[in-house]
Amino acid sequence: MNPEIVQPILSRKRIAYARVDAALCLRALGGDDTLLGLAPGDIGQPLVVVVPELFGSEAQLHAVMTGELPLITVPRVNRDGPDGDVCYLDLSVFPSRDDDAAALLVVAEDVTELARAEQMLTQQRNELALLRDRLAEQNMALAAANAELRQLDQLKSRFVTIAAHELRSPLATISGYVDLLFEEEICGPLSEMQRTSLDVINRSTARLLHMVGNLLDLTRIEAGRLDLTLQPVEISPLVHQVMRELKPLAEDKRHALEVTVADDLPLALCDGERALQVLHNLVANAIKYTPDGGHIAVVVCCDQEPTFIRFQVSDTGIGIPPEEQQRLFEAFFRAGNVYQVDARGSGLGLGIARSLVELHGGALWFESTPGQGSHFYFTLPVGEPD
Amino acid sequence: MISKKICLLGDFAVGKTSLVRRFVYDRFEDKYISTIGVKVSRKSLVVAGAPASGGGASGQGAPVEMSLLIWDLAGSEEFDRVRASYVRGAAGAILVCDLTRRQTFDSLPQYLTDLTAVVPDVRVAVVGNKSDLVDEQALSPEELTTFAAQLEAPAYVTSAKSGAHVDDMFRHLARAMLT
Repeated sequence: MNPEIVQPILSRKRIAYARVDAALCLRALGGDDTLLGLAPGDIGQPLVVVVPELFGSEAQLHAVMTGELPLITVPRVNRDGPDGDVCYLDLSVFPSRDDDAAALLVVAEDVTELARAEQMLTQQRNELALLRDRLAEQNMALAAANAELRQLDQLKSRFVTIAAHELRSPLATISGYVDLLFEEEICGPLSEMQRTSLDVINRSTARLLHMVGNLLDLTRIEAGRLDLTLQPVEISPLVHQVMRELKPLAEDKRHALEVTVADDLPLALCDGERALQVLHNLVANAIKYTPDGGHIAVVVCCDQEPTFIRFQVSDTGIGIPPEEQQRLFEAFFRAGNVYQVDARGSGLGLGIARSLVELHGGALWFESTPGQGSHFYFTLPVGEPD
Repeated sequence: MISKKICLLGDFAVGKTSLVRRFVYDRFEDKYISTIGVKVSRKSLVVAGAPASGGGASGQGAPVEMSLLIWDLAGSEEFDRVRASYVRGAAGAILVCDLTRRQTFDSLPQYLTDLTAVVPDVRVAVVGNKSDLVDEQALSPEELTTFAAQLEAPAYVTSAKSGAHVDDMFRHLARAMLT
């Protein structure tokens, strides 16, 4: 190549070179002699002794000398720099002539700037890979823990299902016999004391049956095995049935009950029993969690979304503390202020109600202010028009 | 003095540089610095030579002064291409894995294949490093020994951090290279 071109290129590089004779001993040094750390005193020394990175390559060096190999290279040789930092050299060995005899030219080029950038990239890539591996290990451990938890959860669900079924049959028997004693007086007329006692048994049995029913619903919902029987349902009778059932409870607490059902309400496409269960749960809660003498309002109308019917249950009750509102639908969760009204409950009903509504394709939500009351809303889809 | 070239091979971050630093300078640095290319270190030592013929199987020969040229090679994949040029002329090789990362052990057969393609008669030692990380071990010493036995090579469980078995391992390989 034209020296006028080569010279400017070479002048920008830090290069050291050494001439090596046929016996692989140093004959001459040139360029930046600090690069290879060689001094004139090294002349005559074996190349592989003074440049240890070429140790073991003697056969290849001879092959270059004889022309069997065009060159050999040792890229990115790490050397200690004068400042204590690593500097990087690319070593190349080319064939040469020395007094007309075959010889070698060893060239060392300083590539520190480029190699340091490579080192930083490599470092970051390796550290990322280590992090990735650690994350993968943690993910595996989490997956194993999850699998174990799922297994335990299934075990729990099976246990709850079996226990609830086993409880329901004897409870139904107790309830039936209490009814016979109470209503039919099959064992003769009841004294006032006996009536009071049977009433307590009856209420407790009803509460237990309700809880068992909730547990069964919960396990079915969790397992995705709760089936709905969807059909067009007239809402007004359903609402009034709920109000009739809960009227005694409201009267016990001297609540005012107000019901408004829009006249032009279309049929809902729902499972009537489950829709009744949801509304019953919300109104019962409103009654329970409102101090005596409160006001409960139920409003049913068309939703802003015309394909849905909207239910609203409002009360003037204790409300739900803002910090607990997120957890309200969790199974077995009960707000911290329920002691204010001494209300019993298992903390299952609301979560089940929301799941039932969502299974219908609707939504259940609420707004609440502690000390002022709550508004619970849910929607059910409108039935197909005839 | 007999000079021999030893190469350290293994995945990145298994502790190759730390093993060399412990053996050559008796030092350890906790910070991980990726090696790119090759760093050649020199260490002189005296080992028991091979027994003279007729000296018996358990006998030791005269002490031999050796100069080990230890090649610490990059473990990163981008140097796979040029690794063959680094290992030429090696008399010994140390296959290093990290006892806390099983996949680094699984990589060893490939390093061995690449190595023996260039230097078929090379003496090998198999090393599981980071034995100090007791609670994180993902590989048993038995697995390491079983693999090494297939290569008729010694297996060492080392800690560059504490220095455990590092010197023994290098000396064992140095002696093996004399036979």
